[in-house]
Amino acid sequence: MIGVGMNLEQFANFIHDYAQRLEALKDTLNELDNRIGDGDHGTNMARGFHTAQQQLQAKSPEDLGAACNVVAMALLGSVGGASGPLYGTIFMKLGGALKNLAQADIEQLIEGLQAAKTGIIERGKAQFGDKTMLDVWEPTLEYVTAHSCDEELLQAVMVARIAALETRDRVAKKGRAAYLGPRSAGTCDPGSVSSGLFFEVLISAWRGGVETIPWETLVL
Amino acid sequence: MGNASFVIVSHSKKLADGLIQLASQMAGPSVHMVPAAGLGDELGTSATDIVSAMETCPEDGAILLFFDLGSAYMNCQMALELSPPAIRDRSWIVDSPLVEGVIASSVVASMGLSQEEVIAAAEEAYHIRKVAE
Amino acid sequence: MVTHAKSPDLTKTWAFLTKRQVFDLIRKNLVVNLEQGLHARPASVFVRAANAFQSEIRIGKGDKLTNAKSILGVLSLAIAKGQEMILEIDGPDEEEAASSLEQIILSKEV
Repeated sequence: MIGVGMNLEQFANFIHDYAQRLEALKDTLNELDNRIGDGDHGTNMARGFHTAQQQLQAKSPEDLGAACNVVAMALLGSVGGASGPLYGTIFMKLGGALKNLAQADIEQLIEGLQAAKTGIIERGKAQFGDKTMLDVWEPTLEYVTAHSCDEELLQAVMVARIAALETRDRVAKKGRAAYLGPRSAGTCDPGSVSSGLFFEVLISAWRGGVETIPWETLVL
Repeated sequence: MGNASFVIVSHSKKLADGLIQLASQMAGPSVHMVPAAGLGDELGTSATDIVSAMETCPEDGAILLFFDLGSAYMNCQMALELSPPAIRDRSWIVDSPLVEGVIASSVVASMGLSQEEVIAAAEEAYHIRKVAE
Repeated sequence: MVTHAKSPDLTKTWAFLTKRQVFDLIRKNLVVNLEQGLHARPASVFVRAANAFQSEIRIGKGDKLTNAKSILGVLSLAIAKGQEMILEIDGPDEEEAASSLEQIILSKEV
């Protein structure tokens, strides 16, 4: 597994790039959330990861576990909606798995992401198919666990993207969108879109070679 | 144990402040009530703000967390996980209508009743019609 | 064979009435004198006072009757100044409870 680990610098790049991409996709995420939620997913996520990136820079933690915790605390203090505790949980669980590591190999990363997924399930009490971010996390994690070699990681990006787009036709069972019942079908779940982007940027920071896609035209 | 303390977790600072003003008038000064509400000038809740609010509560009493909507509940759960055991072990998230639950249970707390009775009063609020039939 | 129609079971009725202490229950009709009515703070003062007694205490307006020890119950009656209300007290300390609660209802403010 040469070259597919992640060190502190790559992690910092990941947070930096994700914050930038969220800022660029902010209006699109807000628009999706406007249709089936309360309209602030883009603003909340962009603000949260901007704060996370700043605090990461200011505190310059010495290992991946500590870096994840800095991000988690920043998100918990600044996101506001349900994404705060959910994305906060992701980084807290990831931090637990990467504790004291200056560099993580692919097994450790996948283990951390698995723990993060379990954390999301416990926090949000959602199941696959409920039109939540879990609709992206579940198939993507299943894929990377079974195909963890370098080239196949690129495919995982596609799995995550397709999973995000597939939420369009589903009826929401959790969160504010669930109040809409059948009317929630026809709009992609904003949390799934931000999670699809999460895996795109994560895997890009992890091994490079990921091309960006025009999310705004695909999801709206 | 001393009187229970109340942490009001709301997306809106104004909502939490208003509720505390109303409930304090009825429960009197012996019940500590503190907001963990809003996100700066915007709507939202934050687990770290809830932790800070819990830390202001007297050390000898239970801490009850009341919340307004779904995602505030998730932040309450996070806040419990982030708190040290000395605080977490005497904290409870209460499932009740926000306004009625806080009023009913703060009045019960002001009578010095047990924390089980304080929580029960809040949960009972789901079953009491606002207009008598 | 002819059986007699069963006579009503008076012992049961009697036991029920005794248990509910219907016979020595205190019932008072009072006119609320509180400036603010039995709302917000006065209601909480009233409920706190009621909770200090062991007796079962009910408060009512019109044909509505509710537990006087529950703040939400008392608030639901929305009793204003000048309105007539009923107090039903039932238990070992009913005399003390009646006089204490009556005093609150008849005060101008608490």
